[in-house]
Amino acid sequence: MPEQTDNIQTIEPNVARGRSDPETWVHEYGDDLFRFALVRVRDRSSAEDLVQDTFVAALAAREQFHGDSSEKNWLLGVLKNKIADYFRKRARESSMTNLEFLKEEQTELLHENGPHKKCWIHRLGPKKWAAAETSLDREEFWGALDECCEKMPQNVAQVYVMREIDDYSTEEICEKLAISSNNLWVMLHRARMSLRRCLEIHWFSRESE
Amino acid sequence: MAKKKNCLRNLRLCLMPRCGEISRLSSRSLDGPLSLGERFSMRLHFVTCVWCRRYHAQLRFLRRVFQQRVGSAKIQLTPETKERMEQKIREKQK
Repeated sequence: MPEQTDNIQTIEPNVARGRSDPETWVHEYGDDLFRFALVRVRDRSSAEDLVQDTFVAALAAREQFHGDSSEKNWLLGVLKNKIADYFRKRARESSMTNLEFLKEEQTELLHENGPHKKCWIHRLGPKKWAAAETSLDREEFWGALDECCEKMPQNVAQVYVMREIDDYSTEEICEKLAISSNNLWVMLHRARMSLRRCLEIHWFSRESE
Repeated sequence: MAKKKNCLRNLRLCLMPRCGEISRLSSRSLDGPLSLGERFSMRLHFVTCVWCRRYHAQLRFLRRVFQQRVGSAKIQLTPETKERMEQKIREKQK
């Protein structure tokens, strides 16, 4: 901003460091932070609380922000910590491993034995998804997707988001979560498998009827 | 004759993994490069199996859709929640 260079001496230190007025944060960053939190915790009110906590924490730690990154990235960093805390707390409260979910869900769709062992039972195999692209314009489709995502156990959802959204490599995820690559592949496989099956049942089958 | 048939079957099993295995490969192919052999058997399998072909295409579709959802501008805080948050920030600033 050229007009700022003229009176650099009189500039408020907050502005010089890339800090904006906290009262504008909600308007500027609220939706982005909320989106980030919601896809991870998959629960509106928890996501809202996390965003709220982020603003409060950021307000207290505002002096530590020196404009090395954008203000939004800085707030995202705070939010990431809040989400990590949230998961840690949840993990303590209950074991999130849903055994029902982790058992090979697809076995019922594959022949158990005979010459076609481990092959799709034809009438139960993946169906043709009619009008998949036009589904994306419909509000109900996204609702169905959200519901299917909610069915994933937390730890599976976590690796799925890390892989698909944060675009971490499998090596990075294994390192961060201290799990074996085999374990990770199984979780990702189950996540995709269950999401695919859930959408097929709750959205695409309904459409074709 | 029976022996020959058995031999052919073994060969087929080795060259052409079953759908269960292919669905695992399908998923793994989204996470990094497969080995040449794995790629080959997956492609070969796809030639004859419409279900696995669909499965693979649907996994790719799911990935795209899931990513799209996160960027969706439709996910928003409600005005009331925003108001509440702004209120809280004003309080804390005092």
